[in-house]
Amino acid sequence: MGRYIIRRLFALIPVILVLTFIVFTILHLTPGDATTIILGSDYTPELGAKLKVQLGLDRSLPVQYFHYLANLMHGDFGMSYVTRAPVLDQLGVRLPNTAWIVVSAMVLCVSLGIPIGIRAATKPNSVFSQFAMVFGLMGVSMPIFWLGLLLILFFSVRLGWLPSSGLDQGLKSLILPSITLGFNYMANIMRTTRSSMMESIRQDFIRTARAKGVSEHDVIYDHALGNALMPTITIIGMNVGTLLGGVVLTETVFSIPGMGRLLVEAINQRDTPCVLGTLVVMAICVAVSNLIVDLIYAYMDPRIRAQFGAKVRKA
Amino acid sequence: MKQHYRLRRRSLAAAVFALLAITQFGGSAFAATQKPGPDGDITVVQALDMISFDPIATSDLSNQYVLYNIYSRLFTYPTNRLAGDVKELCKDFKRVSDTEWRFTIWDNVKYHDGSTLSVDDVVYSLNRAKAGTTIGALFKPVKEIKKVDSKTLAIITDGPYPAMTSALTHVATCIVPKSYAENAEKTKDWSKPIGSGRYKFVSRIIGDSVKFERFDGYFNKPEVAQNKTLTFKVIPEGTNRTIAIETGAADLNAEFTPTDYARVVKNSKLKLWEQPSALVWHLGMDNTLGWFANKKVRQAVGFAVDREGCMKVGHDGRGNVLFNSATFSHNPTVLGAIQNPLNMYSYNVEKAKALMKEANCPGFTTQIVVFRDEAERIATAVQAYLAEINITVEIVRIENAVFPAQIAGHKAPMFVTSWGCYWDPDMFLSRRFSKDGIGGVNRVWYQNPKLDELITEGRGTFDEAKRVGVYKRVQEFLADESPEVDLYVTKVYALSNDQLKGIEMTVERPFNFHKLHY
Amino acid sequence: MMPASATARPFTTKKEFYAQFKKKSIAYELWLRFLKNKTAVIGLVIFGSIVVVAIIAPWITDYKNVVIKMNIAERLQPPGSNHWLGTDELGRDILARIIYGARVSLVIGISAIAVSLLIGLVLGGAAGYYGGRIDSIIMRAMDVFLSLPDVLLALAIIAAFGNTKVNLTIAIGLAFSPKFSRVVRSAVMGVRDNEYIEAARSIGALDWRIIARHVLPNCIGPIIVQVTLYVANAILTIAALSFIGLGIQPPTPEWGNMLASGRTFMRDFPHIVMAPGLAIFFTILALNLLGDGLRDTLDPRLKH
Repeated sequence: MGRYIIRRLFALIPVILVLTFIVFTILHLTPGDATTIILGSDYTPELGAKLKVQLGLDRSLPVQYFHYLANLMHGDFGMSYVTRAPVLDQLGVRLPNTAWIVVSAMVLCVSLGIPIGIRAATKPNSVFSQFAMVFGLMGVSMPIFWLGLLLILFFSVRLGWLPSSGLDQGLKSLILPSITLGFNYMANIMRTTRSSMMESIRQDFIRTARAKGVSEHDVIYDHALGNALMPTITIIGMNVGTLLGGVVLTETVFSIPGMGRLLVEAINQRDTPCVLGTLVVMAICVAVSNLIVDLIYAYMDPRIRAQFGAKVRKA
Repeated sequence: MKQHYRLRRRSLAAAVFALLAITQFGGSAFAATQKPGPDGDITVVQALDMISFDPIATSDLSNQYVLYNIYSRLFTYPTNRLAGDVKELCKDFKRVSDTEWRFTIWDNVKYHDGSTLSVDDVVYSLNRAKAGTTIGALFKPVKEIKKVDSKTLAIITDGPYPAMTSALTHVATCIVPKSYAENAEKTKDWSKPIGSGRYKFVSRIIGDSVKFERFDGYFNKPEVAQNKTLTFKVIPEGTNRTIAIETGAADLNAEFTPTDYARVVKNSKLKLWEQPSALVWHLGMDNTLGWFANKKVRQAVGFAVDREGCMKVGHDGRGNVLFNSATFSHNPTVLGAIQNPLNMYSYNVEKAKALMKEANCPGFTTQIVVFRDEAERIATAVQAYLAEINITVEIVRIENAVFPAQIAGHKAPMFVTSWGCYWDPDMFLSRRFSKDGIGGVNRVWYQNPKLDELITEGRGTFDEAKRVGVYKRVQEFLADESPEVDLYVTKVYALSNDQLKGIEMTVERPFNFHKLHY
Repeated sequence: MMPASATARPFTTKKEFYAQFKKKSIAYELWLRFLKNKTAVIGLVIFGSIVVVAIIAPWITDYKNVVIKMNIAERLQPPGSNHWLGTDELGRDILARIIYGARVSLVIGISAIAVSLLIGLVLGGAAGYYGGRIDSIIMRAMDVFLSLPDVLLALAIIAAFGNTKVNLTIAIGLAFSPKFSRVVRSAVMGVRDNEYIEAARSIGALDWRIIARHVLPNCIGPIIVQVTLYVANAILTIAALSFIGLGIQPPTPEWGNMLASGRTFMRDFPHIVMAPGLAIFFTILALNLLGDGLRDTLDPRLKH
């Protein structure tokens, strides 16, 4: 297992390399107005040229990229054009806020999505199941930024229960953003759990267990669920990226100072180092969470463990 | 390893509970602002983030009103700019002659780091401001700033300069410790400011908040802050700012959007503060770009735009429309302001079309740059009006921090923003429409030697009657030149709960936040 | 309806009856199967009507004088007989804007997916058909793209090139292309070892000809399903980008930018955010229903 983790971690390196290269190239293709942004009203062509040299923007793209990478290795994301502060400082402040809403959204989704999915599967013809199906379908079709607005209208404006912006009121201020962010995700998890659970229940070993006289509860939770959860875990993993994309919207709706809003602000400010830094960190987050999901998957599925063991031996 | 992964309902519930407990704990971790109460933590919400702690970096309003809390200046604003400027760091002053002013500063003024503020620091800071672009034009008449003795400095001008004390209220004249500023300039790092103002800097989250703490060593003891901490929080969305006050998440909304007017007036738990403002919302044009270099086209724009409509869309119709071209507001009245000089402008599409024809302009495509929600709405209205005279406009939303860069790079052919007027017209004329203002806040890039002459003439005397005469000519001249189209002057609003005391406003914004308390 | 009349036709002999089925082929059978899926039909009907409305929009309302023309006197009116869905903050009829918004969303959504489908067909087709090293190179590259959420990838492209409609289309198309490559690849892998492919190869047919004539037609099912679902995704992405101010710019009506500009007024005039939100919701819902239905019809094995 340890070797597997290490190998997977190493596999992240080319991903990050290629990714930074692509984003770096895209962002540097446009003629940089970096100098006018930094100098603002002090801009003169001479000062601009001087600054360009100072920032290394006069060098060729590959050289610039190489320098960027070298700095990145030391944890240096460069200086923001606008605030003149290290990008890393900003990221450090913003990341926890984003992490909180992402984690709470995931917790919410998993803790609601899976049980609802299981119940809907075990009682396929109940009202509950029908309701869950409709809910699931609505959930995957819901534009989350609209949902966020509706939640604000209802819970903040009409009822006055929950704050409509920021994260400074603790758990209370996390509720609406995490529901907003996780809504699609929850519906997805619910639908997947339901269908794979239904499939699992239909299988032979369940029939055997039932025939042996195992209680229905144990059949569902001990025998069927383990198998049925595999596709759910895949869905959870596959959608971490989507969740991080949704962060941009959720943070805009609820005025939360996280990575998403930072990215939008940086784009509006033409602050290339900041855009780049935010994207790189987000990509790393996605890659790492995919890795975690894969590990859980490998841990839960003996077949994959075995298969992987074989692979290592071959290599 | 068991064959099947086991998961019981109970353990699932326990896991959920544990995770919720973790989020609860985490929640308290960022509960930075406390509930408003007598303990004196005050949170003020505003729409945009501050930009830099370097006083001469920008004259952006969102920046100014944050900086005033940590730095002190020789003079500060009166609640109403029609009154005289209020002394702050300046203990006494006198005009020795038509061209020399002497300012005495307070004794034993301490910076937040415990060091003492010296006249050298003042001279340094003012010279630094003079060299900078944000108020370079304001200090144009200033010939020399020099130390007289350990408590006095002299400012020598090249002629009479009636707006001297007003100029010394400008944000760029905030006093910074020389050694700190020199170092900050070198490293470009202003992130941990030191000043002699009422608050010490605590922390900043860029794009979100700035936190200050009372400085008990403030030089004017009776004027020490009446609250313990002061936090500025950025909430870009107008309605969310209102909700923040309703729910108690913040104490004062320094930029209330009138779209919520009817609702908050009905709410007895809230208090809405309003007074006439000197914020002139205007449509700027880069006078050097394309068709905007043509006077007739600029005039056509002035006729094509319905100012009432813009005001309805931008500020729910609350304010007074202006038919001016040079920021002279008349409620409150700027010295010598006249309504619609030459009675020239009105909303008249036919006239606008005729002017376009005269200019041989078939119409064109251009951009309006904006960085606030209100401005974006005004721009949408302007977009519709200009479509009538065949000018197709694309709206470009940017962040306030890059606005100067857009202007400097001629990337803002049109823009919608506001300008806070002073009583003394020299404070904006010399910066916004003169050669000296180029590169600074002459965002319309307008230059005309004839106007420069008039501006010099206007500032050249202490005789107000004479000045009024000059400013009449200036306004008529600019009406014809139409370097920008003034739209309307709004009211200034602030929203608080009904418990908060000590709210004061200038003609731009709430200020004197050190007086806020319960 | 076509199949109804077909079944209603009387058959004289048993032979003719069976011949009918042979001729009508698989497509007809699939259509019957699809019709049995009620939710899928609902999806098709909703989406079909949205498409029709978008096409005939110029005959319903006037773009220049209704959709983008400001009318201050009538601003922020609640839904009523004059304006069925009310007016927005500039006094424009919301219904008219919703209708034109459909045009924008559909055109960009569909063309973006066309872009990603094209890229997906080339890259995924090559990877799936050739396998081996080509496969692993292409798929590694796609994995890299997949590690960045598609909204963010689109944002990066827009940040660099600006947000014109063409750039938006390309940005979204590129952002979704890795997923299409995967879908096409696995579909191609599913059929490439079939005997008729072997046969074509053995008579010396060119690779691209085999792919185009034999491989792709046989994996069209899963691709159509994905196209349906991803058009929904693309429309949602456009709305999302416009909502944060980086997509379609005013005055062009787009559902996302209508939500963004309306939210300031939503407390007192909730109708202003209801209509655009519902428009997005129903479009996505319809496409999801349709996609699910198609999946059940075309590939029962994939049924979730």
